[in-house]
Amino acid sequence: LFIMYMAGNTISIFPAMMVGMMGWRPLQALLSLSTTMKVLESSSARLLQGLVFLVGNGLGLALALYKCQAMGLLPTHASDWLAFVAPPQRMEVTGGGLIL
Amino acid sequence: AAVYEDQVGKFDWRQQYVGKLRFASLEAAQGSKKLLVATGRNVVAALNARTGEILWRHVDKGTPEGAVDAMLIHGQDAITVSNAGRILRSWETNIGGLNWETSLDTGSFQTASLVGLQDVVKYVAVLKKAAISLHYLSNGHQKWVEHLPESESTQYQLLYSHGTGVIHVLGIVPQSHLNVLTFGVEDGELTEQTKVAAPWLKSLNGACSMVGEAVLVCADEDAHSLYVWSLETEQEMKQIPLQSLDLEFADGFQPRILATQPNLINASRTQFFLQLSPSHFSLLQYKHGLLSHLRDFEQAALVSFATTGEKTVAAVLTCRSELKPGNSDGLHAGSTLEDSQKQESLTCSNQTYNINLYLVETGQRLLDTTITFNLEQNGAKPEQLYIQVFLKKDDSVGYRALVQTEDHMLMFLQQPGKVVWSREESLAEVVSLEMVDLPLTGAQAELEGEFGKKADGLLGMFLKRLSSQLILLQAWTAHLWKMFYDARKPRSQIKNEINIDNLARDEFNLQKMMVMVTASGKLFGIESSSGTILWKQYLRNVRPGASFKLMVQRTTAHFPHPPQCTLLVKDKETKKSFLYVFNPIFGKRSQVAPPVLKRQILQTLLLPIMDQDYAKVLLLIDDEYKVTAFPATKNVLRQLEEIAHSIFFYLVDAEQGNLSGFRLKKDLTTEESWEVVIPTEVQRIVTVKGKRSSEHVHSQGRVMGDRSVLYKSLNPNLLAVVTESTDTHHERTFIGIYLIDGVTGRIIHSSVQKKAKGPVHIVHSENWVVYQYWNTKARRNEFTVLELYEGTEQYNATAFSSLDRPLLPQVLQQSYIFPSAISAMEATITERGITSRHLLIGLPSGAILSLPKALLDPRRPEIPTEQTREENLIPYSPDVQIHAERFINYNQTVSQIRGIYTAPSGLESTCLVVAYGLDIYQTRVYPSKQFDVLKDDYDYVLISSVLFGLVFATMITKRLAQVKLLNRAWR
Repeated sequence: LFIMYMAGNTISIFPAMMVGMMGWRPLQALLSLSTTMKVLESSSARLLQGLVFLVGNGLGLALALYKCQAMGLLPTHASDWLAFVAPPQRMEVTGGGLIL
Repeated sequence: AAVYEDQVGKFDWRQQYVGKLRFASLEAAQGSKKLLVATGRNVVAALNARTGEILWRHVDKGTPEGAVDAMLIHGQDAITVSNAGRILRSWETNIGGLNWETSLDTGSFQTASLVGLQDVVKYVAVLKKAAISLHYLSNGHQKWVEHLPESESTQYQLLYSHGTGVIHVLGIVPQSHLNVLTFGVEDGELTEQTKVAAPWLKSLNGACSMVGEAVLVCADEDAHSLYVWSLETEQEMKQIPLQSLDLEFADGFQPRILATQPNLINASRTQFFLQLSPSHFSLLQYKHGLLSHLRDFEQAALVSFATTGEKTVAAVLTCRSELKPGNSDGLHAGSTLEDSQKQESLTCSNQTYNINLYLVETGQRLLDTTITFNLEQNGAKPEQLYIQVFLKKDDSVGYRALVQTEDHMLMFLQQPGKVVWSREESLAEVVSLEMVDLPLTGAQAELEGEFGKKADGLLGMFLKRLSSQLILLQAWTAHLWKMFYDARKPRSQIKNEINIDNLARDEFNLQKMMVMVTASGKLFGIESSSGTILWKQYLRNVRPGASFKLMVQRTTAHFPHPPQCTLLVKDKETKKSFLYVFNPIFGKRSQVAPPVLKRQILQTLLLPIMDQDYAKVLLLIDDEYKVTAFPATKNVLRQLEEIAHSIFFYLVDAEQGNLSGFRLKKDLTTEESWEVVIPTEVQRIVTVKGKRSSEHVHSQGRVMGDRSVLYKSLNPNLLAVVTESTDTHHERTFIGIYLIDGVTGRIIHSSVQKKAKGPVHIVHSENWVVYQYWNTKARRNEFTVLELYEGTEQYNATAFSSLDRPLLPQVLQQSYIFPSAISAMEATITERGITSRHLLIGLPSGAILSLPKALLDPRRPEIPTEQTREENLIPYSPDVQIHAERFINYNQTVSQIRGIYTAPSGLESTCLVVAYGLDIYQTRVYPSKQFDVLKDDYDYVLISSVLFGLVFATMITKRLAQVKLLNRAWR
């Protein structure tokens, strides 16, 4: 987390890699939820443990997203979609000019 | 924007012209290499007599100030009088250097003449309205200047001297008398003043001429007679009735007399031509008080005298077949103009002409001196004839002829009718220009056609696809074979011949057909990559000063329908208009019959709707504000009825100072919907600029530093109207800019720039307007840019209607200093509008500057902040500099630039540019560099060798690894 803070909000290769790792790890963990649950099968409070695991990983993911947002990597502004705005359709046709 | 040395001439070309001839001089020697010309475009130039190329050329200002009023040749010097008789110059004709230049006193210029004295020509005399001055030929210094008596009432028009030490100045008081002054050459003393009654004479020019030893011959149309008067010996004019010569003037024709004075030291020839009717000339002689008739030329189009040594000959240009009145065949572009043309035009039916030489003393035809030449069908009549005569070794007369036709084409002819060269000088006056895509090749068309046709089953489509792919493969192999074949030939020979048959669109649509309309009424089709003229067509009934509007109704995209261009021509005087419809690729007149226009047409509008043949509909509004549609099929009229409510016209009457908008009604009449009056007492409208309808804007807004969007106000109906004040005093002069919506007439923005003066050059595109003017207070040229934004919210993102715009756009404005005046300005345009825009600025020096629009951006901050840096805005600095590396035409300057035309190519990065003026220059520009093509110097060899090397290395290592694995397994 500290490293994340130190990395700052500029976009360059190392912070980007770190953020990527940060986001990827919880995701991986969540995907392998079933295997983790198998390990926990013997435990008595496995539901609670599972929940904690889920929430922890979710928090990690949220943190990664927040970091992305801070770095400006998420398309949340209107300007990010500007290139896809179609030109408005023209309703009237005009023509003319100086009298020939 | 600059090019590398090896790119010079790779995709750009320039053609230089001189313009329509006003004066020409051909040296009377067989081996002479040059022709001297002075033209209507204020050019003095020498042309190479063998090739027609320009040896040297001097271009004066394009305004009337630079006009050449007279050109006289003496030996190796050419004397020109320009700027309405204000400047006298002498040029060295071999290299085009200026010998000397003197400025003369003011006063309207009448004529100039060389003056000889005792076997040498030493002086040049210049006759003004109220004064005559004599200058040394060697250095231009003034010898003397004399005031002319009674200059208020008398119009002095002729100068004459023949080496006797006196100069005769002939003046006329119209319909009263002639006034002849005689000056001594040495001291300028007025030695004699004679008055002779001539109540029938209106003007000396044309009707009178000097023949023999100071004998004035005048033709009088009303009395059907000639008047003869020897200046030095007689006191009265002698009347000789034409009946005594069995001649008769044609009705209503002002007779003209053409004489020649081959040597300025000696007397004029006693022979002269009398023009009796447009096509009837008579060679007459006046000798020893006797007028005799030498020969009659009844079907002559042009006559000319030429002298070599002692021999003077008369050249007569005649039509091979009979001259027929009226347009017997050929082009009837405008049926309405025909009637007025009938009596004045005598056309040669098969366009074959003869030139013959006649000995002036006897009027005998010289044997073997016929030149027969053909002008193109539908071509123009010859207008001027210059003859270069020389004596051959066997003492017979040989000659070459320079013929200028009505369409400003120059032809240099040699016996017995060989065209040595020809020049299309009408291209010096291009008035309108369009670029049209070239048609697809057969194979490409096949492929395109596949998508166009209706589906006929899976198998059928598949087979069709296979067959078209096969055709493509065939074409490709043929192409490869040709490349291989060409590679063996030396480089100079490969030069691809471009002709009308192998025209085809290239991969990126970089090669187009330029359709040019010239002021003379001649149309040209020029291939854009090489500048070859592929077709030309002369519209005979276009008179000078007509206005043109060229529109592309159907592009080449609608195979098999041929592309179609329409030209609207409107005569300035008669106000009659006609449409000429043609195929822009082949220059042929279209089969489609355009509507006959009975009333004068005020404006046109090309609609985006198409008829069933994919031709865009053209609407013409006449002076009763009724609308004519072309094409006017039922289908079109139905479509028009449907969308009539959304069609609007705007008309700008600069004379009345009013702008008015009209709405189209269903029955093709219009009703006025708005009017804006700009009082003409204070200011006058100079230009109105709408947007280009073909323009695409990719980005609807601009990204700000805080990542919000500033939406552009992209009103397609917006007009920029520029006015100039009528008061030109430098303290009170101003220019006004009005941004007016063309549909509603709403004034969206108006501003007045005080202490500013035109000429204003303006570019209107996307959401911005850039204009340039002269600041009279700071005495400098300035640019002002206006940009219109809607703000951070878009009012209606899906449709734009001028009728539903409650909010006015925000207008941002900034001004800059520009270090030079400009002569033309245009913005680059690309296919999809993704590439950043540049302004192309034609400078009076002939350079074309490519200026990034980002430099003219009203959002440039004075104090840069974090946000503006994020936005990549350049901090504001008032001066815009001219960097020589931004010149797109390196040293290929374009003289007297009058316009720049830009067209998109198939590549988004590339914009095609044509600059026209006296010269024509074509090139390509890449405003955002060539992001979509590999560079010219891309190292294909290195990349491919590395690639192959790696592949090879992988294969080897794979093999080695296998071997090693095997060995290990054995162990």
